[in-house]
Amino acid sequence: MKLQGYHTPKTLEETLSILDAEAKRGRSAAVLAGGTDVMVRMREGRMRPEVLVQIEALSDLAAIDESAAAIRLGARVSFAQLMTSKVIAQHAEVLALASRDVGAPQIQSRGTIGGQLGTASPVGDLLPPLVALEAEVIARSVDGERRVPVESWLRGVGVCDRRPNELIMGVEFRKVSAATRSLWHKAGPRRAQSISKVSFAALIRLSAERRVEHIRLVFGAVAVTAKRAAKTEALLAGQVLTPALIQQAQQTAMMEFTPITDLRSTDAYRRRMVGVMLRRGLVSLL
Amino acid sequence: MTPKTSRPAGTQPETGQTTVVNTSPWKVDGIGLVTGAPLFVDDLQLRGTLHVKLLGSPHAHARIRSIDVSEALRVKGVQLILTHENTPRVPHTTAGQGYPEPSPYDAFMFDTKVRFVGDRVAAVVAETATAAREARKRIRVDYEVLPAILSVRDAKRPGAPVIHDEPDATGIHDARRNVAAHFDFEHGSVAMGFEMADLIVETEIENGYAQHCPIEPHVCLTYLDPEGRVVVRTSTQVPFHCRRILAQCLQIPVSRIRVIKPRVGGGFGTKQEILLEDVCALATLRTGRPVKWELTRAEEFYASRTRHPMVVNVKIGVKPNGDITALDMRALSNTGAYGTHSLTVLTNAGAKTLPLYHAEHVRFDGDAVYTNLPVAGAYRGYGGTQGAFALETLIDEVCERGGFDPIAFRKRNALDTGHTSPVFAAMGEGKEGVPMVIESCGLRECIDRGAEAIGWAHKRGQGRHRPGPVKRGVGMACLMQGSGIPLIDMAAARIKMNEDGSFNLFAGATDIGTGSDTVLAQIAAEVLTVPTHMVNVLSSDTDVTPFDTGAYASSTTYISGGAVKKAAEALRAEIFDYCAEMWNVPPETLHLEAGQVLSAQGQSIAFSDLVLRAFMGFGGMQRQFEGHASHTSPTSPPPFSAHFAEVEVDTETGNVRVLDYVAAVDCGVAIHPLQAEGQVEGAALNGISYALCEQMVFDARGKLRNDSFADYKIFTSLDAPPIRTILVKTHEPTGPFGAKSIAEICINGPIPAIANAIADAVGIRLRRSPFTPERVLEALRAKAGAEAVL
Ligand SMILES: Cc1cc2nc3c(=O)[nH]c(=O)nc-3n(C[C@H](O)[C@H](O)[C@H](O)COP(=O)(O)OP(=O)(O)OC[C@H]3O[C@@H](n4cnc5c(N)ncnc54)[C@H](O)[C@@H]3O)c2cc1C
Repeated sequence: MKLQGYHTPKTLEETLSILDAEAKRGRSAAVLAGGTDVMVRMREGRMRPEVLVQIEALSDLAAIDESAAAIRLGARVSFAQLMTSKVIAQHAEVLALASRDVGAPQIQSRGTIGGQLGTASPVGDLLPPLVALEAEVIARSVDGERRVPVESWLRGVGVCDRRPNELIMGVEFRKVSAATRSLWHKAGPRRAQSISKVSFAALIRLSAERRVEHIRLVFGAVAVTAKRAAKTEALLAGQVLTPALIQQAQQTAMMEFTPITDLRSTDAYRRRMVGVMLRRGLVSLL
Repeated sequence: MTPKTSRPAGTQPETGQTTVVNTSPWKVDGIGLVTGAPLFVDDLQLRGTLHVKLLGSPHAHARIRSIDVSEALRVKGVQLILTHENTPRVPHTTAGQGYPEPSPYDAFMFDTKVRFVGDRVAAVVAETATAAREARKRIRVDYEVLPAILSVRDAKRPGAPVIHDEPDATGIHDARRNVAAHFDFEHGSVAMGFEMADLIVETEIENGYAQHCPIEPHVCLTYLDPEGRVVVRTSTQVPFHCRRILAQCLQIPVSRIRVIKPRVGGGFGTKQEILLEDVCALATLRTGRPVKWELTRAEEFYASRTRHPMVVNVKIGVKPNGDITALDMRALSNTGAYGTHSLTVLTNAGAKTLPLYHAEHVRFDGDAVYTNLPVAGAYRGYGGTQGAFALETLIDEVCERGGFDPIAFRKRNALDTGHTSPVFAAMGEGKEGVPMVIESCGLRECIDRGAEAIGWAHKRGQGRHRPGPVKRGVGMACLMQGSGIPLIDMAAARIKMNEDGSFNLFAGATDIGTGSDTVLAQIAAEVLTVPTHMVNVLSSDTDVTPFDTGAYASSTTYISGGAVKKAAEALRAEIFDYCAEMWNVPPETLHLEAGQVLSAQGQSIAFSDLVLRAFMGFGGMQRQFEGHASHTSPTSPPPFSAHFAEVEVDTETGNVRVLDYVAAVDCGVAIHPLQAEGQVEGAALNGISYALCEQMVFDARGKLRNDSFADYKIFTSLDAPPIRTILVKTHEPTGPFGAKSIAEICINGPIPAIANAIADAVGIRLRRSPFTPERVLEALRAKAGAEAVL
């Protein structure tokens, strides 16, 4: 199948009707945002859309909107925007931390959050933070808008919950309280342009006596999607954080994942890194 | 031949003071490069150019039963498809080396057999690259798949498939056992040496498959000149070998071929090969059309050339006082599917390392074997990298076991000025070498200044006691290389003078981004007392410039520079003759100064006036001042170097970070210190990246899994540690203005220096490179496990 069409809709309505029409015709249409995945995958033959729908004109989707309790990111918000936004620094720092470790400046200015959600890669670096933030994906089509928690949006390696006629509008999540600490760590083969061997995002709020009041621990690249360490979260929730507890959490977290061996790393290494990253992150809170 | 003259060329006394040499003027090609002038092969767009795409083998080892190109030929725009059925079958080597090449003749333009995934099956020549790719898909090949050898250790096993069973290959050491090349020698008796030793230590290392990653891939453009000769504009390190090997493969006379090397975007050894030129030239001859072929990055990874992975075993015997009684090196080199550079890289593993330390008894024994993996070739360091990994790890281990101080031990045993080594005579490039007495050696100063810079005295052995999971260590390695291949490498240069007092230098030498055009201009400028920019360099055009073996073996500054110096001196002698006659004074009374000829009697003439006069014949004496010369060297004076690395090892993640890196190098007199420093930094970073990160990974069928920069990681500027270069100045009497080489030596340091630093930090010996976090952690766990058992 060859590329047969290239649309440059001017409005949201036009975009949605194009996506709908193409879906009804049975043609595979791909939204083209920053293109940092689409262009690479098409060239490698791993993605063969028949139509591209370029959304550069939808400037509303490039906004970071703040309300009293929540933040909404348009699908076209780039890594670079997340890195420099004051709102993000204040209310969702974990996204800024992760964005800094994505690719290199070129990718940071082109790549978008919508692209992360559309590609749904196990190594997408913003996905663990979004899961930790319990963000909701907002998807819209001519049939209407729906909201899906990121955790259920990510369904498998490169598989997401998007319907063929849907446009990802963006994500929304509650602001992170000032008392909550954000943790982020990425292990890759080098300092830039590297794909995660393991990534780790966490949001943790401790009481004055270090009791765990809120905890989200999410790992990337060790499962088919970014995945919470649910057992470890349960182990820690409501407990007072102590070195002994952290030790126990490390063991639990390592057993929660069954990573694979591939070109980039080994299962054994990845599993150990899950434990090390978690312990180091938690120790940094003491 | 120098021109007839009343006194020998070059008699202007060398004061040892230089005005151009040992300074760092602008690169002669710098402005064009930084402003993006169209100067690379691919920048020339000729109308009607045809494009080549290669059909590579999907199998690691197979016989081609039949090829059907009929359907492919019907694709619109396809002009020609080359296969073994319609090309000359000439056994040759793709290695661009001196003739007769020390590499076996085991390659054919196209063969009835394929020997690695990506090996040549057919080349499609079409109006567009798209048409060529389309047609490539329609070629039907019937393969008889053969069992493949995918590990160097399996190659010699009884019953192993024979990779080169073709009867017409020549020069293979033992084809039936898959041994492409073999070399051994023994000086004294290592058995006896080990008997005399009080401590014997042995170690075995293995380095990984790696790629050169030049920014510019291999690319070649061929076209016919008006007389029907084929012009080959190509990204090569060896234009003259290219011309000769093309003539051999195509069975046409050398006189019908012109090879031009424009600017080249890096080579590092991978372009010391004739990889594309034969197909392009043949296609141009068959079609009469310009033909271009550029490798894709993926092809660059699997179908060009790689470093030779080697298993090197070294054993040392020492006495309690630190004297070395015996050194024994055994090497098993993986040359991949073809034997290019197999013998010479193998021998260099010993030849460029074993002489470094005096040992009464020395032995080397090595095999280079075929496997069904990508073809190894020349790669900066050229065996020295592999040998240094083994030897310098061993020295560190023997110091640890014997309680010797690594610096004192090395200084006690290392080569020095006035010394020689039996290895020089025993091991050359694939055959016996030439005896040599070292005339310049700054190694001890390199060691002292490097140790000082890294803080060795207060850091060694200390960083492991740091609290917490992150430990630090320092490690070192000593290195030597050569400067050209003695009695084989030859360079020639020609220089002429213009009426504004400028010069044109025509050199066979090949600047591949190395900066050699600038260095050669400086050498000529120094002799002729003009600024560097008054020497315009034209290099590497086989129709225009005289012969040069090419850019390899760390030869250009030393050998080609020697030729340029002589050529400039010959021209100077012509000037002296002319002025002596003009002024009626003895030529001995003349000298050059700042672009003028001066006589002791007080006469003077500016170069511009002199040449105008000589061109236009005021007074009847008309001539073109011109000098030319050839140069070879009976020896190959080694540059020396001491490398020091300080590393941080995270014992929980296995991450190794280089905190500081010092390379102290004796390259004699650096003609252009800034470029010399660039060579050191480039080589060191290349080596650090290779030590920690770079590796080619194959699947179970021999297919490369990481054939892109997305998956084959090389260090970026963010990963680069501080690299500090210390140029230790010595004067090599046989080199131009005291120069030796610097191009390759520094890639050999990082692996052993880092391995030794890791050992200092956490007490583990990493013997397999690269030292990835996964391997470091595994080694740490193995050590912890062993200690728990004890
Ligand atoms: C050199 C390089 C380095 C990289 N490094 C990293 C890294 O370190 N970490 C990391 O996580 N990723 C990395 N990536 C991957 C990539 O940059 C990210 O996945 C990025 O988020 C993709 O965003 P994009 O806007 O470019 O997406 P595109 O390529 O435009 O689209 C990606 C997918 O999402 C779909 N899509 C995009 N927007 C929408 C929308 N609004 N509605 C519906 N579908 C949509 C597309 O159809 C496509 O399927 C790298 C890529 C490259 C080329």
